[in-house]
Amino acid sequence: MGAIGFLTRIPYQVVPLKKPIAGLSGVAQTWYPTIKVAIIFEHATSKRFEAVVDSGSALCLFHADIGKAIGLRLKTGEQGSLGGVVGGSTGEVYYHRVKLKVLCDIIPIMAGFSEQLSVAAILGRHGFFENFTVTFDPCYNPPGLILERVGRA
Amino acid sequence: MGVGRRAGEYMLAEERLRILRDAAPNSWIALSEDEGRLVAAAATYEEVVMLAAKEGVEDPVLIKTPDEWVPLVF
Repeated sequence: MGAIGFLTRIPYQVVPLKKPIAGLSGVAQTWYPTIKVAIIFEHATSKRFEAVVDSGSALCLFHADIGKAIGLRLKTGEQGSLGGVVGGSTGEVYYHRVKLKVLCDIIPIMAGFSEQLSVAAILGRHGFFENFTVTFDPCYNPPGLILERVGRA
Repeated sequence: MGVGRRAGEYMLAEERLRILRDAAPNSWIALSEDEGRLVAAAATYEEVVMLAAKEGVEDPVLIKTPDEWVPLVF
């Protein structure tokens, strides 16, 4: 099944840096591909928040504060651990079924919730990239990403 | 498909940078519905939502700041 949605272009969001990136002297800011999303649990919907679009993440992850605010009892979910590309400590994550609200779409997903997430949310392959074609587009200023909702076979 | 930023739809990058630089680490900030201004900042999601509502902003856009503004690898 092909695309059933429409294209939406979303500019990257700029963030400051405490000090320039090593190897890129003079770069005092950078950008993240982010989109505004909300999550739904039963009849409760979160406020909109910025989520990082990250194909390197297997799953969609959310800060625990957001889950608790919409009524999730976090520790009743299946527990897993969360690690990054740099070795060292891992964090606890609890998985729950919620709905992800992206633009005009509401998508059921399995989501991880962690107290230790450094950002509000990360949108990963399962739950997000399997529902959207994502094009990282450097051709404009500011650069951005293009989202296209796709159907499932 | 929209291209670029429409006037008033997104906060100016410079203003956004200033707000994020000034925000406390590991905190939540709330922007107005049109993302044009900072309306609240707090340590937790629930607190920032409550403060935004007190300012009359019922549908804020929330951002969580990291412990430190370093290049993040997710």
